[in-house]
Amino acid sequence: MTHLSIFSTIITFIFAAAVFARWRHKKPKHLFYWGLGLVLYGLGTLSEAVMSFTFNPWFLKLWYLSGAMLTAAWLGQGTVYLLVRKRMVADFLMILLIIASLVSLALIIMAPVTAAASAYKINLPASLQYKEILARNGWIIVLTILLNIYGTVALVGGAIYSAYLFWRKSVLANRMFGNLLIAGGALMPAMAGSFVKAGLVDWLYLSEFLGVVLMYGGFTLATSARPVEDRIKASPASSD
Amino acid sequence: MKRKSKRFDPTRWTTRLVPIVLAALLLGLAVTLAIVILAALGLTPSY
Repeated sequence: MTHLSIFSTIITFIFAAAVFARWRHKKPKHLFYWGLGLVLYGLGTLSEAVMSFTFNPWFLKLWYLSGAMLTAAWLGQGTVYLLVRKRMVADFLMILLIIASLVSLALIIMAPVTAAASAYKINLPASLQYKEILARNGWIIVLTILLNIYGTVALVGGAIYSAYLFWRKSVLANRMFGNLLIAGGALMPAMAGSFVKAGLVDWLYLSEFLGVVLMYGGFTLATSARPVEDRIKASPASSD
Repeated sequence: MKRKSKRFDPTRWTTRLVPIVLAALLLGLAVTLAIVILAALGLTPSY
């Protein structure tokens, strides 16, 4: 199951490329930050994939920085730019996120790797072993928690809110279903840590894989040029 | 030229199932955040 990270990585980078390709036309900020968040997601799963073959402390640090600390926050920042009307608020949150990310980068680079690294087992996930190997200080733990709360609330909450609005107004069914998929997909890796704690180690990889597949499906559906409702049924009240 | 409608006719599925899915997702979000906060307070086995 550890090799599932390889497929997650491939899909994530294809997804990121699709988001950046869409961003290229009108350059909306939210697409750029979603793309950046997906690159971080991909770096996290890539590090996992590498560490399923061989251990390298720098890949462990990259895995922790990108996967555990920054992915959710940068994806969430994309949603903040999409949903927050006041640009100043979004820009202010952006500055905070940049500072938090740079501090995280510095702290992770400086974090010592313990002697437990020599006992790293490649057949077990990094998330089960990193605590003994990567010495994290209080700042790293606090930043990890804050960044994850911010990112999860923004990304999942934003997708739920958008889906609710489309459902309530009965408009753009493709975006409603797309946002439901994005919310579900984003929740999966967010809950991955809980799966590991519950002893369901393999679920970590599966949740990352299913998470990115669902988000990609949701994004494709939400951005499809021809809305789903037109394919299902033409609305009789088509004059709005 | 007539603009293409963005509205859709809610079916029984979209009327009943979507709110349930939304509630489930909201619950999932709340549970995830609760776990993160409990972990931050040291109330879960490990973090």
